Amino acid sequence: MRDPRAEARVGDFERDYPLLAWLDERGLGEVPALADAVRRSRAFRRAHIDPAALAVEREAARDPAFVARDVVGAAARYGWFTMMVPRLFGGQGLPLGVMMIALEEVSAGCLGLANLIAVHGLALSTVGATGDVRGMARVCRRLAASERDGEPALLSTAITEPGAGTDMEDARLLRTARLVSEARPVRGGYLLSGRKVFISNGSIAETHVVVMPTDRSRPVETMAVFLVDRGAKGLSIGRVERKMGQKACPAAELVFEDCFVPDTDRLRGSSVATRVLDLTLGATRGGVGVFGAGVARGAYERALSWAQDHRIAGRPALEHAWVRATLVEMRRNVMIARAAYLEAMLSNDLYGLGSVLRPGLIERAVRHVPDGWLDGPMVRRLVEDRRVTKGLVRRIAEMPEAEVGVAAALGAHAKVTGSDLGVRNSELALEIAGADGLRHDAGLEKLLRDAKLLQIYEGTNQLNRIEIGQRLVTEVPHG
Amino acid sequence: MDEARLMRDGVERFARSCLEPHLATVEGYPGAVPAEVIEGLDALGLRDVDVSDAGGRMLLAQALEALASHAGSCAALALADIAARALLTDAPAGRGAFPLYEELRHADPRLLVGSVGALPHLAGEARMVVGAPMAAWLALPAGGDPDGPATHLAVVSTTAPGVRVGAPIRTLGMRGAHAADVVVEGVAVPRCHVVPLDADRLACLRGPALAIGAGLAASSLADALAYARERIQGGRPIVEHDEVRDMLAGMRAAVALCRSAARTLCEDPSEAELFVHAREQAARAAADGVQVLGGNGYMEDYGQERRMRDARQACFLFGRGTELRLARLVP
Repeated sequence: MRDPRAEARVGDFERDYPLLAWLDERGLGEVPALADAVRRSRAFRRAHIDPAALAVEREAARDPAFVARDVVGAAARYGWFTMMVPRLFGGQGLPLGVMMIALEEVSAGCLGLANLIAVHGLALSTVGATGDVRGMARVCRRLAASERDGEPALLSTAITEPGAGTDMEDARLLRTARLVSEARPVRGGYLLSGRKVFISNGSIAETHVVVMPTDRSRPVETMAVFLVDRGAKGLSIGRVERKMGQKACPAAELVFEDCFVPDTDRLRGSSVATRVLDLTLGATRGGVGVFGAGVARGAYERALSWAQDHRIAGRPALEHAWVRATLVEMRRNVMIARAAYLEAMLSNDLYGLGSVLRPGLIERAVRHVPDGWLDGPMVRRLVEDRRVTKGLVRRIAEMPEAEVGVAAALGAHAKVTGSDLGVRNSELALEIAGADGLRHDAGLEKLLRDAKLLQIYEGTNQLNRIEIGQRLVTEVPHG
Repeated sequence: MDEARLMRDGVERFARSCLEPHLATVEGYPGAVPAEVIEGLDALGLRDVDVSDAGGRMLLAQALEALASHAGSCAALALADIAARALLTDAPAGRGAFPLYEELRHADPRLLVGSVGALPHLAGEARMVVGAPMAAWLALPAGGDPDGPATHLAVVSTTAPGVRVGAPIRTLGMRGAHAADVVVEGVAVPRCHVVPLDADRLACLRGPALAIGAGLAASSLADALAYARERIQGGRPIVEHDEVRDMLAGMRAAVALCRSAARTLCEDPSEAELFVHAREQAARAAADGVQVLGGNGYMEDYGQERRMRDARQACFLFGRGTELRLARLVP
């Protein structure tokens, strides 16, 4: 029987994650799982991401709707899509940190593929943050069953609108946002109208988690979350965008024209515009920080590899002091980005979404119950009991604002830090490789194109800085 | 002054009537540059400007800035032809191509010069020769010692037996300025086509090269400003938000710096640090242009992501920044 703890001692884990290795020494029980995630995800990256990255990008440049189904299939065999899903709903119930560490590995290989196989995390987080247990069960069980079948039912999250991107992610800005979407209440449900744009995996998702107000004139008070299945009447896929980078993950427009959604598919829970988005973005902006750490590392690794194999001005590149100094700077950037997302992860687990979804009483009670039994009628009844949802919603609503704010701010902190350093390392990698780096086939120029998006999505870095300021530095409203 | 205005007007006419309708084709990959675009570019007469004179260089810089504000790659294509000619006393007829992204003083010669009988004999390769697929001739760095720096410039015809020009390389930016690898297999050339390399003659093009960054930064600023005045966030145009204003101010400073630095470099091309610093600011301004436009800036149809890619690639004209900076103090 393999002992992940023993492997953690001898592998790269201690060198790369000294904080976690230290916690392991002090007996934090979750660390072996994290070390195991490093080992497994590195193997996954070597086998499925690195060899495919450039070819997939070229194909997606030709056809923006292209999807690397074989990579999605390999990720399903790896269990990628159910890592965060509670065991109660057919998932693996692993700590958020496992997902983050695995994500750094894949991001180091290709940010586009990383987004393709990880952006469902945004949907799961949004659904989880509402506290609607029945909705969580529906989404998670479908994802888990489809993963077992090898064809995961991907999820997308539709938030951004043509006239409101960053506005949608901040309650203060939302009040005056120029929204074009509205979910009008009708008998038995809602009629969704409007457009959502730049939706990652929007063209291929089986279920869309749609964030839309029921009254456009009062978006903060009436923002709601809906589950809409692919093929729903009144929902169509608009244009699939031609992007500068991250081409492996299609970004599409969703067009709603009186798309009927039954009452049962509106998730019930806390205020969407404030608590749900705070919890969601606190978790997922940390994820963008992971992307940043990953691409920073990918740039470092590729620049080092180039320098080991090439000469500059008649001498081996590594004999130049400026090349070595640049590589040291790049390695330092990786460590800073990683430290930032680990802080966000820990804070999220203490005060954010992680604390909401942390295995509770029921999950602990079923820890030793075989998977098959978890799908039984008794557990189903328990999950769908309105009182369970009510309890979780109350728990979310009662979370102290200051604590949620810290988790949200540290998520934003990780996002800004990781994305800025990811871009910086991509530029430094180009500087080391010179003209060679400008060529697509060298695998370096793609890093910069991919990394730039990290400074934009999940709220621009400018908005994230404002939020960090308001939550951690000063309460004075930003002018 | 009139000459400069005439040339800028010519560039604007070319851009509007000839370049803009073909921009998507020119900048795509695998892209094609229609013959009429090449002919229109050549007709601007940029290659006839006397770059040995500071006034000529300034004239050229203004034209390249105007050209780059429409398409950086067209400016790079023109620069490759001009750079090839700048190193030769008697350049051949037709369009020339040149490896624009090499630091010639330090380039490892992959093209070796030997001699067979009385004639110089060339064998080896040259990488990323800008404009090679649409050129009549190539100016390539060469040398006799594979471990020493390039010492000569060799001129070879693209149609000579033994010369193979590869397919356009997919690059970060400047995609319309097709760059290709060239393989030369045992080609004998006239003695006058292998000349000692005088890298200083190339350095005199730093001002015009920087003007490409200025054009990309200036057009980024214009689009970002227009967008920021239109786009509403938090109930007011984003131009009223400090964070956006700060980026726009930085972009404006970058444009001013690049223009001023280009003028200085046209007068004194030895200011390598200024060349490197200013073009880096231009690349930053173009990236900030994407940031101001947010998600829209990242999409190809707004054109800003192309400027960001082009401006970053322009940071490698005549070599890496670090090499150029370090070489100045300790040659």
